Amino acid sequence: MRRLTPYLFVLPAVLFLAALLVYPVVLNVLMSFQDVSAGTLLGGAPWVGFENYRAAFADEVFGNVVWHSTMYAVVSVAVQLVAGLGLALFYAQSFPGARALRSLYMIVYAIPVVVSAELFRWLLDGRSGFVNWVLGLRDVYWLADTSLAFPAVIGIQVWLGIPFVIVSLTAGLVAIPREFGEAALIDGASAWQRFRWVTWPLLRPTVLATAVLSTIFTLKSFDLVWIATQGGPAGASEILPTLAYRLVFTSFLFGKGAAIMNLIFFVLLLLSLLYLRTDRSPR
Amino acid sequence: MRRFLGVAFVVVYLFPVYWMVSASVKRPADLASVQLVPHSPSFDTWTSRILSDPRVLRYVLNSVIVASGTMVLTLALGIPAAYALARLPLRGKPVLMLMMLSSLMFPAIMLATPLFVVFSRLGLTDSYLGLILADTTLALPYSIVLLRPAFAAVPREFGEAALIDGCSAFGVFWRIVVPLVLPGIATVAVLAFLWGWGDLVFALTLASEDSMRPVTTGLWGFFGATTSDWAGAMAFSTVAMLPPLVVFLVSQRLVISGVAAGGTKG
Repeated sequence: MRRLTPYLFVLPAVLFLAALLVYPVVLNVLMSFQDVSAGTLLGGAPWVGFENYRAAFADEVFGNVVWHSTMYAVVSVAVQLVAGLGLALFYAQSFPGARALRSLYMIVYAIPVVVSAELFRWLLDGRSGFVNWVLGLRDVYWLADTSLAFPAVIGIQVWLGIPFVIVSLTAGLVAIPREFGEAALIDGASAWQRFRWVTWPLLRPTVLATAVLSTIFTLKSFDLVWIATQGGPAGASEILPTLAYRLVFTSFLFGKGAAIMNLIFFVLLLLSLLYLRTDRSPR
Repeated sequence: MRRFLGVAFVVVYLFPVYWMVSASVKRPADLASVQLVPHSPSFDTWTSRILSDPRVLRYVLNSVIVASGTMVLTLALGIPAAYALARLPLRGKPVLMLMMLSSLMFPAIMLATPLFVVFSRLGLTDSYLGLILADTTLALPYSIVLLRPAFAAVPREFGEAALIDGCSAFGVFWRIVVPLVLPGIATVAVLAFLWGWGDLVFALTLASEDSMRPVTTGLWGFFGATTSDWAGAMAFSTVAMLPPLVVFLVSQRLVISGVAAGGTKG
């Protein structure tokens, strides 16, 4: 009995995750190989092999959507890393109130993404939007414009992602012993030299880990695009998660949607393995 | 100078949030003309769009129930599991930890269809329990990954001494170790609450009935793609933002350490 006790501690959590996490994933994989319709959703759908994948990949919008998802992740992660690194370095200096000010960025983290997305729908509105007022534009409907909607959504994603980058990089900066920078200062190194030759080499593993994690979070994010544009106008900002959602819940193409979701899952799995291999081991 | 810049950056970054809250106390007609400070503050939007509409209160109540339920269930399942994974002799630990870590990367959207299928069969759609279960699937692995190191940091001698004094294995866990890990537990509690409050995907797919909607889909239902009632939308957004913001500000330091340990919301 005493040897079994440890297992009783993990059993509830393991059973829960097996039923509600592992089983759904398996179900998703199975559904991607079946021709599931609303009538056969609860079982008994015919097997169709790789037909769903073939149909999903052959879809004329598929190439565009993969391109959007890639750009969405690459551009917004790159911009938020540069901005976040700048801010993290800035607030890592010692001046009165630096820590308190830095923690204010985290307010955005507590706000539901749905609320932020709704807020930016108004900021980017053509008639009473603040962005147009700042830029001196009139009647530019950012999120309803086929060429502006996608860059606008990337911009919002950068805004949403910055707090995580600041917090994550600050944790890495704090771990660098102060003496290193001070020694370089005594040796007459300029601010740029200290960053380039002291801070950067030591911070690089953290930056890499942060980049991979941010990429994962961006690739799987659904809320922002769904609320801001619903993938529109005319598919201009459609990404893989919104396409999968649309296929399943508005077109009822369960198998095809499952195929797209498995594609997302596969990419995220590869990125997760990359993350686990990056230097910063999970503490 | 640095201090001035530090404040200026924050002001620019958080300006959208201020703009949202201030819009809710402007007269709707004033929204088109940019007023940095409301010229004639008015609570008309609040009284006509929020306070007089019983559905808003209903949505908030639903969100409170779902977020609190997610928090409680996550803690109930996550605390003992994290403790066992950190401290007890257990086969298959690496596999379990890998499973927890990889489920951090799960898109909620991927669980949406299968959970919809399973919950339809079990009659759990349009129920609090269904939403709580769904939100917990993603909060639980996260809580275990975060809590395990906290448990591992408690010196082994504490538990061993109590065992010698005749304490049971559960007694050691509950009376000796858990009280020492309360800060970590509080972090996880707050994050699970924020997660449950902010969820959109499960609310969209598992709660289609209006009376079961939380604030996220409630907001979308009121002020969807075609709205031009920005005053109402900003007032409702403020309502949806306030509870998690208060929870967050009260527990701020805890949450920041949790996020730094490697996670954000999906």
